[in-house]
Amino acid sequence: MLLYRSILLCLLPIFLYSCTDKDFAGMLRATSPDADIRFGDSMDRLPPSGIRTVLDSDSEEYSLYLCSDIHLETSTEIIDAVVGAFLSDSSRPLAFLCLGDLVSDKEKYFLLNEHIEPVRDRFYTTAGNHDLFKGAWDSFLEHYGPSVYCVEVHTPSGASDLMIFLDSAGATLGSRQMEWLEYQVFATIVAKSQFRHITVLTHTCVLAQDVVTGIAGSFAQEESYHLARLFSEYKVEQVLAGHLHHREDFVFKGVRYVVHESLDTSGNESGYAVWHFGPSSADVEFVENQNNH
Amino acid sequence: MAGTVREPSSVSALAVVGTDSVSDFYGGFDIYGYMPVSNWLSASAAAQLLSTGTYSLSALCSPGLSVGGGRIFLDATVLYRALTESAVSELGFALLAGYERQYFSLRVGVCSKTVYDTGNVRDSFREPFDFLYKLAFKIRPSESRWNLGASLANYTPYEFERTWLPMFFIFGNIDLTGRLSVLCEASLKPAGMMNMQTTFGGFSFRTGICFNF
Repeated sequence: MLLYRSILLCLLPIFLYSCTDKDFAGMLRATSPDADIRFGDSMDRLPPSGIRTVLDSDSEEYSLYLCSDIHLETSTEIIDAVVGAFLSDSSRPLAFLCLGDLVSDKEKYFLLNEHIEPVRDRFYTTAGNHDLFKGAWDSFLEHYGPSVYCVEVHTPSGASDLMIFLDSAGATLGSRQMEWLEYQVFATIVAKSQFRHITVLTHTCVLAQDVVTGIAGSFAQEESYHLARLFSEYKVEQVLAGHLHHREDFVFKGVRYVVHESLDTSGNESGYAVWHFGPSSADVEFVENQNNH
Repeated sequence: MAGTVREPSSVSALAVVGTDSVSDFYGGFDIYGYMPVSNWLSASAAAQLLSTGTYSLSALCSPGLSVGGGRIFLDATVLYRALTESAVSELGFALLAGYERQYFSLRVGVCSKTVYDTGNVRDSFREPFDFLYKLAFKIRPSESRWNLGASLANYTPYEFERTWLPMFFIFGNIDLTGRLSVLCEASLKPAGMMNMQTTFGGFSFRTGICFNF
């Protein structure tokens, strides 16, 4: 592994050069609006509470399908398989979630939309860094709406769960989103309610153990640790991220951090996850792509 | 601001101001001591206190050899950093190999870090392996009375940042009396650099004096 990583570092310029979908101008200056502007764009499309929708579960237990880093180019086989699994799941999953990096190029949003059409009314995503490349933010916003929002799930007994989608596509929340998270979401919504489960969903990992293997930006450490304290203080149960194209699962300060593998096949592991929420616990089942080696 | 074995023992004290993705403004100071132990070995230690409640301590041991017009060396560093506002602390170890000439230096190596919950040190996770790097240029030879330079690095004596988060520095020094010199350094930490959506992440400015024994 040491040798692999050393080779990766040495070959970085070649990898970057060979990645045609990358936005090299973005290495020096972002080609989509920064986090504060994106946050404003998202809030313009939400009610003042920041709660985008309330999903009603007909049972105390429910499941959610989750994938990350689809990077859709031309092959739709994998996304079709996941959508098919969602539709044929007898447990009738409540929503289809994504953690960003939907496509390799903004023109592909139309292709993705065709293939997620059966689940489109239950599709919730945040933006990944690839969703900002080459000025793609406006297209993302047009197709999928806000990248920062909350979704509540209500159960027949009156219990509620909260999902908080955060926009970390630029490897920072920015000051406005951070303020919203601290004062609107945590100090107002969370502090005044009794949620069974609080889940944060974002693209760039807040914490990860292996931040080297993929060529992927990270939060600055001070921002990571600040968020880790907030998540712990407000009893967030799990923080779900993608971006690194490999899987991690660990607990720190009472919060479970799960990094999901990519849905595309660029990583050593690829697949999707089915999250099961019940009255007292939430757990995950990872499903590998059938064409994994 | 690490020295070479040719340099005398020194102590530097600097004031720090800055902003980052969590704090609109912070201040603080740091102190840095350097001592040549022998012709082939030097040691240094650094401490930093910031108003954000971030406290760093590091120690570095650097054996080296002169080769041609330059010097090859190893930097072995241990770093402890406590971020009290976040109730997190880090213990990191780094080993870098370097090459230094009059106008430039290059350091490349690896580090390993454990992150602790300061309220419960049994609660921790590891970032077992990261790369560290530093490439620095000066416009004049190292022994000049004054100098200006620039560097690219993902670490300082006070933090080991992640591999894909480089920081940019410009620095300068001017010798006032032969024993006393003034130092300054400005640094820029971008956000999202390897996400290819680079925006401003943080800035800091340090200035102070260095006393040569």
